[in-house]
Amino acid sequence: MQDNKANSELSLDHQSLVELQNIILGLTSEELLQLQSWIKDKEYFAEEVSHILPSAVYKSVARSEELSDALLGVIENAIFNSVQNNPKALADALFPIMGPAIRQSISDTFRKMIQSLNETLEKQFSIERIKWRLEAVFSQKSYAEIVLLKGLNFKVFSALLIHKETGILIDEAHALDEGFEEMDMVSSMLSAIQDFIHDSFDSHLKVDDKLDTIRLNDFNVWVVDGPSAFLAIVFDGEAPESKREFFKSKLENIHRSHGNLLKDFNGEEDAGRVIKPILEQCIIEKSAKKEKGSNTKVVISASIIGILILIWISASWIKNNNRENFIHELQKKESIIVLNHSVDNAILTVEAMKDALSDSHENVAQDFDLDSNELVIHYTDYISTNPKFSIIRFSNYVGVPNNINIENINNQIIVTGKADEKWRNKSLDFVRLYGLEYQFDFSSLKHSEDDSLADIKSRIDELEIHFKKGESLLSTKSRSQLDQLIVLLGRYNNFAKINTIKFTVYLDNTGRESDNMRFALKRKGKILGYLDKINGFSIPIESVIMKAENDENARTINFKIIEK
Amino acid sequence: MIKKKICILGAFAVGKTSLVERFVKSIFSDKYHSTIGVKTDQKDLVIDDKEIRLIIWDINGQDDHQSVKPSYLTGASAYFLVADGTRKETIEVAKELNKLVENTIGEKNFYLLINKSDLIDQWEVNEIDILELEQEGWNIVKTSAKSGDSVEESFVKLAKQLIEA
Repeated sequence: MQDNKANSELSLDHQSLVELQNIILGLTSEELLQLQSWIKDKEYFAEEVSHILPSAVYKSVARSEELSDALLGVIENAIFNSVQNNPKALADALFPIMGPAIRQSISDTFRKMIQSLNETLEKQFSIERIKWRLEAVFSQKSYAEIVLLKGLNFKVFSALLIHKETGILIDEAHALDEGFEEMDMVSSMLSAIQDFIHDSFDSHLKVDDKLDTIRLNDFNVWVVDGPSAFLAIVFDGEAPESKREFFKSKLENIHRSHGNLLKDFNGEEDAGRVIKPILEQCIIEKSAKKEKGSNTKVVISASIIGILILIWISASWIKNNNRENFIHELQKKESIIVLNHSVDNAILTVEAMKDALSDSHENVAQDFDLDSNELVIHYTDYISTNPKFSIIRFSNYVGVPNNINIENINNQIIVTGKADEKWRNKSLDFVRLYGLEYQFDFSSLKHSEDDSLADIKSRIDELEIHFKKGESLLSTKSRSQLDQLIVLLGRYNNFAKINTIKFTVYLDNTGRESDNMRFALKRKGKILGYLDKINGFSIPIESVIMKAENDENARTINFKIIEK
Repeated sequence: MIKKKICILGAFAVGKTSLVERFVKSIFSDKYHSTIGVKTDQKDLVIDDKEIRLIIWDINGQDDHQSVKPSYLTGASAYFLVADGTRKETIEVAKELNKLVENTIGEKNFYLLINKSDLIDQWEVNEIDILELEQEGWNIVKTSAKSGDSVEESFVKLAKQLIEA
């Protein structure tokens, strides 16, 4: 009885417990058991969780960044392990984005370099550049650094953060003294222009390529692209490309801090309020110090330099003109022939031919303000055939008596008047010597009435034909003397009849007598032979061979006239 | 204030720009239509004490020689299709454009504005045509850019829908 009672109490207790369990958990014990079995069955449990996990993750991420933070370490470790175990998998995954990213980076770097180079070249010859160099030396900074710091002036007017999808202005910041109206319309138009450029040239562009610069003279809009929004920086002047990195970092900062806000942006005006402080950091100004009056100094300096350049150019032009005129005048001078001329280091060098009788160039050089430091003339001597110079040269050579007249008629030099034989012969010597037979005409020259028999006789007496030792050849001089003898005999004959001409043949005063005799006869024969060749020489000849009286008349032959 | 991008599309010479000009503040000239194919304007409204700024993308008219650039449509919260009541073919263009918009940005609120109500006696578009479109769920308003009839009301209606969305 007691056992039954006890069992009944136990049974009641169990029942009570089950009821209590149902009240607390709302589940039957069967359901709890089923839950337990599901949890213990890992395959089944995983299957069930997989259905709700994505949704749970989405909701968690939307609510807060707690899940992202929690997963950060796990994902980092996972990536690290993946790279350790199989680097190729990650490399393959990154390949499509790495190439464009690297190319973009290289392209940006080159663009910056080129811009920097352009800017440096533009400043190449300015006073400013010298100042920068000095500053680089004193500040111990690199010159390139100074160029980047000092080289470019610009002022950012506005920074606009524009929602990428809608083109709506999220927020804006402006310089205090600047402001643009209706930036909403400007922003949307800017977005439209971006689309327009991309659509128009899409075959040449990559999907991610964006319009990054709009420029009109010094007015610029830089567009810095981000995932959800882009930044339009409106500025005036020349900003260094490195500043683009600065703006890029600001946009990255905005995306990092307010990524969700940008992603979920729905046109709310106050959405950008939290972003404004970052945008305000983009309103920067960089200008070179413009001291009061510095423009005046620059203008004065530029004017002085300009005037100096003008003077220098004028002086150069005048000097050059003088040189040309000098050459021209020199060429006009008689008996100077300019062969070549050149200017080197402001020195005019002239190569010319000059007759010794010609005037010097000094006077001409003086006329054109060319001093000896600026002019070098190398003359080569030559004999001019200019009749004027021939007459001077002739006169100097023969001496011109009063009764002789010399005229230049059409470049032919006509010698008229009366001259004795000696002068005439000297004249002939001159024309032969200078090869001017064609230029001189002596046909009108008459014999001087001063010629007398005594003179002729005395001149014949003076003629003395010399022979070298052991020779009987007639020299050129001897032949000329014999020609003269014939002329003199002819003229003598005009006054008095010549009976005979006597040859006195002197033997050599040294050597064997027989040899000397033999040569004496040969020499006499030579002279007779020469005279025989002259037509009309029919004067009888008498000859005598004599011993030499001294060294002077040894081996000579002279002549004497014997009248009828 | 909330800002919303809306687009205005339609066949060539249906009066889109005239409708916008009657209603909005504009700083850009019409030459943008012939150059880049779009001009943006804005209109600020206060509806039920709520401020809304409509950024209106007035997209160049579509004809045989010129087509609407889909990229101009992205991000639009709503749009107007504009047709010319005196040219029935402009309704067909509006239908094509509606397909383009839906394919580009999905289904959005829109109104078909049948313009030139001041010339109603010359209309080729009849009530049956309008009814058919309404049966397809289109919101249709007859407007006149010339007289201004129903123009502002259309913008207000669209803005209201955007605020309530």
